[in-house]
Amino acid sequence: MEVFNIKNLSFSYPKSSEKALDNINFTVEQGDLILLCGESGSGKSTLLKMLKPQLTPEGNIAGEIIFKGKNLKELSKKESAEKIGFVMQNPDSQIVTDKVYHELSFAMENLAYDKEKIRLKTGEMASFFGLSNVFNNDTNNLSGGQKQLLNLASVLTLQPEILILDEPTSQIDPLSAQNFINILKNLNRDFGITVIISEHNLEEVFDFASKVIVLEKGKVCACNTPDKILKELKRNNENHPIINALPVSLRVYNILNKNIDDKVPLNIKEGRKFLQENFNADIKKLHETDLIDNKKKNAVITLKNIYFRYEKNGSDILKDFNLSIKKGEIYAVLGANGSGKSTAVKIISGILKAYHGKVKIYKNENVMYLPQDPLTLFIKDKIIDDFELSDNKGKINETSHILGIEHLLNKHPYDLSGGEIQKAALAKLLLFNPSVLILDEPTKGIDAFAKDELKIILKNLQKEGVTIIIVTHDTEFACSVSDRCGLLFNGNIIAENSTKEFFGGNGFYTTSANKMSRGFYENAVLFEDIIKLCNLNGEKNAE
Amino acid sequence: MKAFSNFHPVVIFIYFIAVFSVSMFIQNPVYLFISMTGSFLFLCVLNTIKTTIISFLKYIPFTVLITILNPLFSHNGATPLFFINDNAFTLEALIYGSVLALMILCVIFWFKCFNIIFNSEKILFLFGKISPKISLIFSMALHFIPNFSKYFNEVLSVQKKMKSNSKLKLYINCFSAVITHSFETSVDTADSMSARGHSTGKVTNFGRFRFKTNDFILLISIITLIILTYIAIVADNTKVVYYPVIIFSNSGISAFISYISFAVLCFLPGIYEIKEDLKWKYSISKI
Repeated sequence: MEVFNIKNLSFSYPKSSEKALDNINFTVEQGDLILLCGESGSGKSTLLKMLKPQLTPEGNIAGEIIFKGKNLKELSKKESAEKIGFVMQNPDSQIVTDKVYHELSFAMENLAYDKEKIRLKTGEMASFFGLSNVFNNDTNNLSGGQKQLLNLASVLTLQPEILILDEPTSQIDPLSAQNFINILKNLNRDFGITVIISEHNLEEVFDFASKVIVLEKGKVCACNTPDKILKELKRNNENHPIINALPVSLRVYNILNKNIDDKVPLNIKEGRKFLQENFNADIKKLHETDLIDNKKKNAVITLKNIYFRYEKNGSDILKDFNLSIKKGEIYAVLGANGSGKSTAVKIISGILKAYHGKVKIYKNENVMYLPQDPLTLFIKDKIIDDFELSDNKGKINETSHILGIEHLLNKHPYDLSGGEIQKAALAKLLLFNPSVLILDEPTKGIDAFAKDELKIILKNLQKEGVTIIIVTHDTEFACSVSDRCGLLFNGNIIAENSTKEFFGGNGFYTTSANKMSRGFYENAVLFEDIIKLCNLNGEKNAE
Repeated sequence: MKAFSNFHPVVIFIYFIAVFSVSMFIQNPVYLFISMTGSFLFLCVLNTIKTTIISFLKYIPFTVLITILNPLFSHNGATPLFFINDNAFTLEALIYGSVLALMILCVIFWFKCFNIIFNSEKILFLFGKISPKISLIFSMALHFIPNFSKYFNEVLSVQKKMKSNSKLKLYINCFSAVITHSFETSVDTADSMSARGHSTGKVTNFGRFRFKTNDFILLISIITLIILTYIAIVADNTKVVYYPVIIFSNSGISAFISYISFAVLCFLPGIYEIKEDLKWKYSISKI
C-alpha cells in the first residue's frame, strides 16, 4: 500500500526564481525505509518539509502529494500531527520542555490524550529507548545522543504511520549515531513503521534501505534499490560527487570492478568477501615512503601532569594528562563522548585553567581555537563585519580567496551551511596569523564533499608551517588528515602513535576501510590504501 | 525521596498556605514559636540536623539586627529603657522587634522546606490546573534560561581570545549574538512544537500525580486543624497588643485548643517523615 505518492512536485521559495525542488516523482510503500541523499543545498530538507504540512515553508508549490489516497492538504492539523512524525537535525532546539517525562508527554498533551494513556505511553517509550534512568532528569543535562533519542521517542508516542528524519545523526557522536540508526532499523523491521531519512553518513543505513533517492540541485538524479543505485548514478555522470559519500565497500567496488553487473557489496561484510574472492594478497602492506621522523622535531606545546575538574566536588575529567605536540604536525585527539577531549584542548587554548600541572606553549607560538560550534566565533550580522574586527584587515581578501568563501562575505552567519560556516570560522582565525590551530570537531554536521575540502585546506596550512590539533570522533577524517593520533580514555592519553600504526593496531576504534580489509591486508586504513594494495596484488584468476 | 513530597501537590500546597497564613500574619509569639520549632524539625528531617543548625546560626545576626532596628525607629511604648538623642528606646518596641524577627525567620525556614518539597514538576502541575499555557511557558523558560546562559558563556570565552578593543563593546556584541542565536533556535523549537501537534485544539495537562486515600485523609486533617486554629484567632482570644503596653489575651479553652491544633499542624510533616523513616528501618530489620 502506498503511503506517499509524490507527483510532479516543484517548489520555489518566495522572491527566488530558482526552483528548490524541480519536478519530483516517487512513491513510498508501507514499510519502506527510504534513504535520501545529496550534497548540502541539494534540497533534501526542503523536500522532507514538504511532506509534513506543519513545516511546509512559504513559497510556490506545484504538483501533488498524496498521503494514503488523500491529498496532503486535506488532512486536518490533528491528523497530520499524529500520522506523520518528524525529527529534525539539531537535538537541542527541538526540545521544548525542561524535564524528560514532560517532553515525552508533550505531544500527547497537545492532542488531548487521556491521562491513563499518557502514563502508559511515556513509560513504554522510556523503557524501549533506554531513557528510564533519566526519566526525571532535566533535558538540559542529557548528552547529544540521548537528546536525539528523546526527540525520536517523543514523536513516536503518537504512533505515527510514517517517520521523517532530516539528518538526525549529523550532530551526535558516531557511537550514539550507530545506536540511533539501529533503533530506527528495529522500528522499521519489527514495528513496520515507514521511514524516510536523509543522511550524510551512509555507511550505517545504506544496505538496509529499500530505496535510495539521490537529489541534485532539486532534481531526483537517481532513485533505485541500493544495489542498483551505483549503476544508475554512473549512467548519468561517471564521477558523480555523491559516489565519494557512499559506503567504503561500494567505493572500492566502483573503482576496482569493471563489470558493474556483479553482485554489489553493500556493507563491510560483503566488501570483505568481495576483496577475498577477487584479489590476491601476496603483498600485505604498503611500503611507507613518507614517514616523518617526529622525534627530531621540536615540541611547540607540552602539557605535563594536568589535572582538571569542573566542580569542586566533581570527579577529575583529566587525570595526569600528558601531551606533547611537535612543530608542523597534524595531531588528532580521539576518544568517546565525555572522555575529556574538548576539555583538553580548551586547556591548551587557555579557555580553561588546570588546577594542577603545567601547560607550556613555546615562544612566538600563537594558538587559536576553533570551537565545536563555529557560530560562537561570529558576533556580527555579516561575515565581513566579523572579519574586520581583527587587526589584519589587509589579509581578508587573500584569506577568503584561499578558502573560497568570497561569495559568502556579505551573508549572515546563520544562512551558511555547515561546511561553509566551518570554512568562514577557519578564515577568521587565520586573520590572527596563528602558528598553532586547534579545531574541535570540525567535521560535525558537514557532508563528504565539505570534508574533502577541509582536508585539503588543512594539508595546505600544514605546508605553510602551521601546527594543527584536531579533536574528533570522526575516525575516517582523523585517519586521512593527521600525522599522529592519540586516544583519550579516562582522563589521559592511553595510546599514541603515527596514524597508520594507530588505526591499524586498533581492533574496534578504527575506520571502515580497516574493518573491511582486516586480516587480508595490514594497516590499510584508508579507502585509497585498499585501492593501491589491490592494484599492486592484481586480480585473482587474471589471464 | 521525601515521604511528605509523595502527597498530591494540591494537598501539599494547601498545607503550606495554611501554615503560612498563620506564620506570616498573626503576630502572636506562641504561634510563631510553635511554627518555628515545627519548621526546624521538618528541615532537620529533610536535610541533616547539622546543616539545619548551621543555617539557623547563620540567621542569628540577622535576627538580632531586626530586633534592635525596630526600637531604634519606632519610639512607641510605655516603658522606656534608655534614651538615644532624646528618643526613647522602649521595651515594647524591642519585644515587637523580636517578634517580627521571629516571624521573618519562620517564613524563611518554611520556604526552605517548601523549596525542597515543591519542585518545578509540582509547580507546573498546579499552574497546569489553572492554565496549561502558563504551565508550558514556565516549563519552556526553565529549559531556555540555562541554555541561554550556557551559550552566552561559551561565546564570551571564545571571543575573549580574540583581541578586542573594549570590554563593554565585547559584552554587548556577545549578548546580541546570543539573542540572534536564540531567535534562530526558537524557529526550530516552534517547528518542533507544531510538528507535534501544538495548538491543534484541546489539550490535557499530564501530571504524574494521583489523588490517593492518604491525600484525602491529610487534606481533611489540615482543614480541621486550621479551622480549630482560626476559631480562637477570629474571636480575638489569642490577640496580642504591643503598643503602648503589651496585652496578652490568652483567654479560655479556645486559645488552648487553637495552640494545640496549630502545633499538631506544624509538627505533622516532621513527625510523618520520622514515622516513615522508622517504618522503613523496621522493614529492613525484618528482612
